[in-house]
Amino acid sequence: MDISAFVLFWAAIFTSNILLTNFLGMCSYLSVSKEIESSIGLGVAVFFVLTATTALNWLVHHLILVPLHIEYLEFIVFIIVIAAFVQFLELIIERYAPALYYTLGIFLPLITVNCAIFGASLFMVIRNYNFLQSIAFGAGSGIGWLLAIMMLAGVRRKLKEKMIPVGLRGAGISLIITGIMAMGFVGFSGIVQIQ
Amino acid sequence: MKDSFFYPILFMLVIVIIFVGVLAVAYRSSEGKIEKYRIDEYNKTVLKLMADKIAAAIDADASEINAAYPESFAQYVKELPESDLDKRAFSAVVHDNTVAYCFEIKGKGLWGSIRALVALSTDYRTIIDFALVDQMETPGLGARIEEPWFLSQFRNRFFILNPGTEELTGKYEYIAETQEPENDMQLRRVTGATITSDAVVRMLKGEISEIYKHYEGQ
Amino acid sequence: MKRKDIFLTSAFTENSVWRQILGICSALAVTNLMMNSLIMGVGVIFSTAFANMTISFIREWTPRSVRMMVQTLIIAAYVILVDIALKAWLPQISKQLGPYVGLIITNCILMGRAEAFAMQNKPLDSFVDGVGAGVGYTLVLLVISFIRELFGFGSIFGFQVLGAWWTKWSIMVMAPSAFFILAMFIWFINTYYYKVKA
Repeated sequence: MDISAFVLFWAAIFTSNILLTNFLGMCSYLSVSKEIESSIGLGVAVFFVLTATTALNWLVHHLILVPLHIEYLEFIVFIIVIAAFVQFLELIIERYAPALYYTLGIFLPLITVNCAIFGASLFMVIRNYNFLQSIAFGAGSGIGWLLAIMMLAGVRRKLKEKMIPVGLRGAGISLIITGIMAMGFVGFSGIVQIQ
Repeated sequence: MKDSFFYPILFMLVIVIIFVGVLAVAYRSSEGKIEKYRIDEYNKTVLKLMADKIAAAIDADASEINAAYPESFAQYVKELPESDLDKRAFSAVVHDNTVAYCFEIKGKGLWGSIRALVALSTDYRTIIDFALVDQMETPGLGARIEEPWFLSQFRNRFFILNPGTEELTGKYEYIAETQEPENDMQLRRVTGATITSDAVVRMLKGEISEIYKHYEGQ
Repeated sequence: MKRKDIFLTSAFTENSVWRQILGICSALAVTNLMMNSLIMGVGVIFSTAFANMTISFIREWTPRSVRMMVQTLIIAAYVILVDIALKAWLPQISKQLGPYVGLIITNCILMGRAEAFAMQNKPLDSFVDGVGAGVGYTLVLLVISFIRELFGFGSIFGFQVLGAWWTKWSIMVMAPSAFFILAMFIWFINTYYYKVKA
């Protein structure tokens, strides 16, 4: 495995966006994207937690699980690492940066059940990335997710006053917009050269 | 009692012990089965890739040889001792005559490494058949390199074209998935998965050149 | 409430996918082939039902402070059992589903049912509710994958039903089609099943 971390970073944002091609993190994506401000808040939180937990889980996997031959427990361990990290982050932010806590804090519990974060950790193990690649992949996926939710929130704001069939309002139209965005992102495949 | 400081910790501990215990038992009891399947699957692929050549040598049908796994594998396929080439290698031997070789090769795709098996003729110049062992490409896009039409275009392809020169393999021209190849130098590429398709061809070129260079000196 | 009603409510009237828009991730990712959807659905039915039952069984003793951790742990344990079972008995399918089996853990449906139902109800009722939620989810998966596989590969459950004259739609195999089909599906349900009016 010697794809450079830099290339992986860009590939994770554009050619294989974790939300638009792997469909991860849809639940909070659809429910929070009503407002641009909260989308950005959640997006930033996801980016931060995703990068950190992918790195943490890499360490846990390679330094604890593999030497002890208990890889089959990785699902449990990963989800606990993520839950504990989010809880810990919440405490720290609340204690030392109250202002940030009021803007970001309410999104933190939502993150534990965001499958993009758990998914990135699983992909990192399955694809056998090294530490640097894992960080690059985590950061790229986080930025990709942030990008996707910001774009959807922007479009949804424009759609607020539009005549949309009743049955399609809310989730329906959001899915269609996401589908069109996903098609746009398919166009990116090919810009990243793997050497 | 439920409000005490230690109760939640104790509770968590008991739950963890029970569930991890159950999982450990389930995992340990199926571990052997999973491993055996993995080895069988690998060996079957090795056999399948060389089955045509074996069949021709003993005047039988390739499907009979595949169906007779694991006996046929034990009878015809020998794993070659490790050499400084650092690749797992097998040979198909019929009546003390080697009829084909099979090598495990590695390359990198868009998302991770690709592991494949390639069967070569005894002069190491023609690809007899080609199959993938592991790949992590995007499902529905890059992962379509597993589809038969893509893999089978490498079948019976004369690959080492220019022995003695720098560029051992020929220059291939890529065409779209829907096009029919007009000559031997054209390869169809999976739509929407340019990088992965190229990666497969690059892997074949690099690895087969290496194998050829290693063995032609002997 | 009778068990039958519990089942019907959680499978249809309050279906997690089309009513609560939960569990979309995997609903979209594994639906390019019907077989994958079916196996994924069975995995979800199994894990929701048993996780629900277990969580409900120990609800009296579960301290509130570690409630989420306990739920996650129990869900994860059942999902790992499904994963081990698939690896041992259906290795081909396990390979195709890849990380999506593990992702059942973060499928919001499981957590949602545990919080909304299992914490307040008896174990057997919770089991029925879990089966219902899983069946409703599987149903959606099968409908989407039926359309995708039919147009994308010309087959149903791997059997070729459309002949060679059929030009396969690449878009159906690719990611975006799943979004459109699910959107249309939700639109249809809203209009003809819930009869939503402006």
